[in-house]
Amino acid sequence: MVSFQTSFMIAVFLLTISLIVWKPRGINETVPTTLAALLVLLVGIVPLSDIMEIINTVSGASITIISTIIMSIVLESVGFFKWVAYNLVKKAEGSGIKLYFYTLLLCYLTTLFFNNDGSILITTPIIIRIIKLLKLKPNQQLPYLLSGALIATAASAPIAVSNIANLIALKIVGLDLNTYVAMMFIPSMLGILTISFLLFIYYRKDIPKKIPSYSLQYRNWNQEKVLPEHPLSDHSMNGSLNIDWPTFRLCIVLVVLIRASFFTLTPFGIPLEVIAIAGAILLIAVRWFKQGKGSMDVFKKTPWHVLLFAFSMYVLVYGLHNVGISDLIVDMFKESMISDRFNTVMISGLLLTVLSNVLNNLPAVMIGTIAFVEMNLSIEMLQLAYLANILGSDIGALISPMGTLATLIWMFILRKNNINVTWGQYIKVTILVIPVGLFVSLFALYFWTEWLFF
Amino acid sequence: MIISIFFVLAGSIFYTILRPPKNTEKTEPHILYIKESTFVKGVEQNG
Repeated sequence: MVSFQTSFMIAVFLLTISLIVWKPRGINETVPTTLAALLVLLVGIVPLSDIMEIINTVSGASITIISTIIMSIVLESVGFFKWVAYNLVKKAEGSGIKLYFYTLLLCYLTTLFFNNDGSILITTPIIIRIIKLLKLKPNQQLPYLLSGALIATAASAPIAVSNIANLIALKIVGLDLNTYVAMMFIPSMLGILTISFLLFIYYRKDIPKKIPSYSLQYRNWNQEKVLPEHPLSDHSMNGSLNIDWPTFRLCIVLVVLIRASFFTLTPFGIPLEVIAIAGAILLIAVRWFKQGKGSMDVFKKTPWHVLLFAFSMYVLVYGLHNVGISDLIVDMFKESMISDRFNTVMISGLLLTVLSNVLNNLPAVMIGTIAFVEMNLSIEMLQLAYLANILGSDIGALISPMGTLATLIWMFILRKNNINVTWGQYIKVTILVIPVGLFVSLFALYFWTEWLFF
Repeated sequence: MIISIFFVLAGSIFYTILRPPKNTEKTEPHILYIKESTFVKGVEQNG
């Protein structure tokens, strides 16, 4: 007999997920999540005494991600992304195939240096700008748009710091960043390369062989306004491109250094979020020093609600845990996982793929990680389960748009730009490509870790 | 160490993708102007 609390918790959770996907009147995903979390706290499914533990678990990851988003806002304001659409078309030298691979590279690198949701927010408008500039037909647009979104999202697996879910789970299992990269970089990259290759094979007939090359002319900055704006851009700069070369160069060097310092400074006990905050402050200071701009625009554009969203989502996951959902996972899979590393990798990866595509990967990865901790696995098994967990939630989750917040944001941006990509169109491609990429990365994770670590 | 080298390499590629066209580097502030008629003509010709 299912108790009232269990039915109530599951109903509240499913309703919240439905509202996140449906977005009635375009409401922010934080609204239903926060209301649901308040309800769960009021009913007492999650006692108030757990709040500090939840804050402790999610705060570091959320602050790190917010700081990364702040960095991307600062960089956008110094003109970082304004040229990308034109540069890519120019570098493609009239080849649609070259443009395709440049687009994938851009999406991969943007996630690597920022994070997956930020990467979707930055790169999708750039790709839309490219396909509008080139006036591609609808069947020619989808290869660039969909492949870019899939790679941008999957690219959060190799280094852990590009995804809030990865960071929260990392803290729960007590894995350090450098060990994560050593164990995960090669397997996840093999998965990403497989997906890129399969997407290219799938779309090879739709990708235009030739794209138009165009002539560029330059005018003084106060003349005609011709550049379409990026959504993150500062409208007061509309049309003008004051290229501040020293600032541009300094900023890209700082971005690389800040990213690298995540890995070089955390072994000395410096918390990740402290490095991230310092990096964001440093970039704001550089912009102020070089261009005399304060920080108010950055403050206004920063999506502070991410902090509340992560907290509320974790309250809901804690609620599911408290009514016994994680025990259900433990009972079903503990026996098979506890003794065999291959089983651990496959079960964790596939379980998270299913959970992510049904529930979205943020709660799924949290539920999965809590369940694996409850299984009392040995530390090496727990960490292996966590890594496979991440492959399921970052790569396997891409089968349906429901799987990740990034793909939901992507669909929302497309709709706002009058580009209709249906769930059917999306799944028709991903169902062929993603499972292969997932299995490649799961097998690679097993063999790579067996070879080097166990 | 290896990860730092990787980031420097990745950063260099990112830089080449992001950097504005070369011929704007040593000039005054500019605006990129696309010669719309030529461009549209090119699109029509190339499909």
